[in-house]
Amino acid sequence: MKITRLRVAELRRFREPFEISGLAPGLNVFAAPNESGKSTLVRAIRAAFFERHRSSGAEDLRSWGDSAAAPTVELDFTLGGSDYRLVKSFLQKKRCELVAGARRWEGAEAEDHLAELLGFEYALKGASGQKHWGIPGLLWVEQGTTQAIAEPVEHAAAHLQRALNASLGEVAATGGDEVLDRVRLLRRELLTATGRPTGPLAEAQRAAEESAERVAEIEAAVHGHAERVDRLKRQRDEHEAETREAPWLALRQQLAQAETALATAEGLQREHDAAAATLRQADGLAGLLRQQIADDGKRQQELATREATRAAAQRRHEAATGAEAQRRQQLALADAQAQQAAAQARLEAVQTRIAAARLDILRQDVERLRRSADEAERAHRARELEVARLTAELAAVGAQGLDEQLAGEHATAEHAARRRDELQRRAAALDLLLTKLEGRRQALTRRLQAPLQKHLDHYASLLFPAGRLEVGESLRPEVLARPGLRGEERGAFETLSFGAREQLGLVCRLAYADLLREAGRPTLVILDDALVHTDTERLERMKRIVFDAAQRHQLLVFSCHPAQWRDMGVPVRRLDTDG
Amino acid sequence: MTTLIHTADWQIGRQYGGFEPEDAAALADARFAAVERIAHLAADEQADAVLVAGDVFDAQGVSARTIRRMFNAMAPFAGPWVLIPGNHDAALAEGVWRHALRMGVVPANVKLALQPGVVELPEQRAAVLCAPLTQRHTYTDLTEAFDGWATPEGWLRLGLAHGAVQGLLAEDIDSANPIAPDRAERARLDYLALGDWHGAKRIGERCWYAGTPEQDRFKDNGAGQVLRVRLAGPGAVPEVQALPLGRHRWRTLERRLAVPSDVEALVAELAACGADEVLQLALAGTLDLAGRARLDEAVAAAEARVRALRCERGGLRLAPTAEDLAALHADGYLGEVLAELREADGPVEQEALALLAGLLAGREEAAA
Repeated sequence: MKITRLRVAELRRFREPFEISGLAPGLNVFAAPNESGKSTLVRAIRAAFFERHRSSGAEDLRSWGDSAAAPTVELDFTLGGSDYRLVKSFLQKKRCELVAGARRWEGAEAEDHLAELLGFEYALKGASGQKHWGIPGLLWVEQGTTQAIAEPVEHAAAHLQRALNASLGEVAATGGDEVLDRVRLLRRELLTATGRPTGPLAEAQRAAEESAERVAEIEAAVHGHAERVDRLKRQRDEHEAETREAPWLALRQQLAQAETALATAEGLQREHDAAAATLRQADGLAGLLRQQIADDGKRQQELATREATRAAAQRRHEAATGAEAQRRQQLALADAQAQQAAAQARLEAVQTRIAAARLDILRQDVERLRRSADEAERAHRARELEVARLTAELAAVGAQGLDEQLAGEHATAEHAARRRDELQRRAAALDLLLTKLEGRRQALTRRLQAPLQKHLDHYASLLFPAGRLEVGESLRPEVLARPGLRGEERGAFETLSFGAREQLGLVCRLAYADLLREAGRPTLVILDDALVHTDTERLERMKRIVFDAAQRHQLLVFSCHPAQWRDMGVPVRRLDTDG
Repeated sequence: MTTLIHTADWQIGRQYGGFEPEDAAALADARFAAVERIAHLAADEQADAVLVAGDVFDAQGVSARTIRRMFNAMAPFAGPWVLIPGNHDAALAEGVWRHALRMGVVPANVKLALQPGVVELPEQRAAVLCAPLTQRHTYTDLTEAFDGWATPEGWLRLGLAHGAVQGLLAEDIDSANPIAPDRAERARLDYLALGDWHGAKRIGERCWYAGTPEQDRFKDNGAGQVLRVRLAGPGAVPEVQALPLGRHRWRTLERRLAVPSDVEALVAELAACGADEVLQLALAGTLDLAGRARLDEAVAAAEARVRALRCERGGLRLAPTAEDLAALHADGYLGEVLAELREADGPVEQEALALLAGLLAGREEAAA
């Protein structure tokens, strides 16, 4: 779409008709100081298209203080190979006429035809707003709003998508996103965002685990039970064998023998005592006799001394009787000494026998055998108790029906494991499905967006060498990637400086224009002081971009800085002197 | 003429994994019902005795209630029953039999042979030589003792044992609890009643396995019967007749599905299944979406009708045809994913394919 002539009358400051003609098909630069009607002209063009001629939303077009004014805009343009003339009057003279050669539309019909041609809508009521503007809303940039690109893109999204699809000649997937949402929902029932089991899957896993644990528990109990049954069998067999063999009886017999042996040995002690007594008696007797003999000898001596003068006969007789007594005494002594020796020998013999008998060991024998016999009986009684205890215990456990419980729990565990496996497979399948669908969709989106990306790259690299502006699924610019000191730097669009956003906002709009042009849509670009936050260096780059875009689109650039646009290879028209 | 009912392997207390809990409970109950039918049959046939050749109980640790139910089920036949323990319910130092005895629930007409020996039935003029298992596995032939045991002159000489006849059952080579194949002859038995093998099987003219009266596994070997043994007198050759008794019929349908008519044949087979069938489907091959829908429908219908159904679809591949895919109207990336999954073979991919096809089909239905 190219505008060739613009005429306004009774419109704000233009009470008198004001006309710009001979507009170039490419770049047109209009310079005007503030308050000289630059924005009024832009507003006039927008109103000619966006406002219904009957709309009250055109009130701001009224010439100042002129209540009878009928603000009028006249536009000549070519579109799709045809020359059009649009004449639209508001307020006091509501009129709309569109003529293209022999064809002619009037009133609302004319407006609807225009909207169809350019890709916008009308407000149902009141003034036209951003949401109605569609493609022109994107390409006609109002003062200082270049960076605010999200909304215009959203309102033009349908047109852009159509342009993309049309250029690729295929559709994304009919109802694909509904299916994708459904898969996402189904997956969320079983898995968390990070892929951890949740809901029925987590529940099934827990149930299977618990059931397996119970199986293990009962299995251990069954195993323990079987072992105790075996022990019972052994104990019972041993008890029966013991009852039959009664080993303690043999021990008691041995004990009796040991006791006899001990008693015999203890008899030796008594013999020893007797022998010792006998010896003591013999010792006493011999001692006594020796004393008597000694006493008698002494008396004889005294007698001899005292009575030396007594009669010899007397002496002889006495000596004869004294010798007899002496001889008898010597005999008695010899006898006593023999008895003493015999007693000594007997005592020694007993002592030898006692030493040989080892009384201490015999006592130990008795003790040992007594304890053994007691122990054998105790063990027997203990085993009897153990058998009774085990029997009772096993009977009690047996009554629980452990094997039946185990088999039942096995069945439950099997069932739980099956359900867990089913849900796990389902979760894995949903996960796979989601990955595949999202992957394919992303690839497709990228493929679909490739034409747009191509145009973006074309401009972005002029602004940021080796830079790349990535658009998201909504076709809005999302990330600026450019080489940095440490590899690629990626900056979200919203986090960029106002100036950068302004520049990239314009880059996007021009790329959209290229895309729309390829799809055969009209692409008039109007920039009303679009680069106000851009520094000189960047402005130089942006001018190259604008010039390049003007090779394919008609661009109307309105600026209050004429000096900035003198190097664009086109005349800078001054509105205050022009027309 | 003496009439005996020979049965074995009741496996009371058996639990069934691999089925829905409700079905498993019904299958466990069916074993008690089988015992009850045996008792009625014995009464109807005016049998002289019922010989039960081991594995009466499935395990040592069955609940007191299970023990009571089993002896209750035997009540309809008031004549003598002779029971021996098998490997599952061996007469251990402590176990199910001692439990039953302690509970005092064993009726007087039920003779438990918990020790090797002869059970005499004077009224029937029959001596039953019993070789109970007193441990789960033995490696000596417990029936060898039969050869030397004396029985009253002019009485029937019957054997009752549980184990594997050597050399006859291929899979029992070197198995535990061996029994000589010519034991009946060697021990001069009029009839040797065996248990352990779950199908009814003739070993010799005087020696049979009765099999389990109620089928309990997917093996078609003549299970679900009892034997009626008629003996004209000592020395006479017994007349053995297998009588159907089991309620449930266990079957495996192993099918490979390739063309639509395969599915139709299986659907027809499933439709013909009765309420007492326990089915195992082992399916392999490929299915298109329509075939899968037909199969799902038929399996669901059968599941609701038969006693229990287990379906193994591991070998089954979902392979939607070009027409299937066209009918799903899956274009763009949906179509791409569908096509990709169609080429893949893994179980997860198969499940994903089925899910996606299901979602797309549901969408088509909603749109229709």
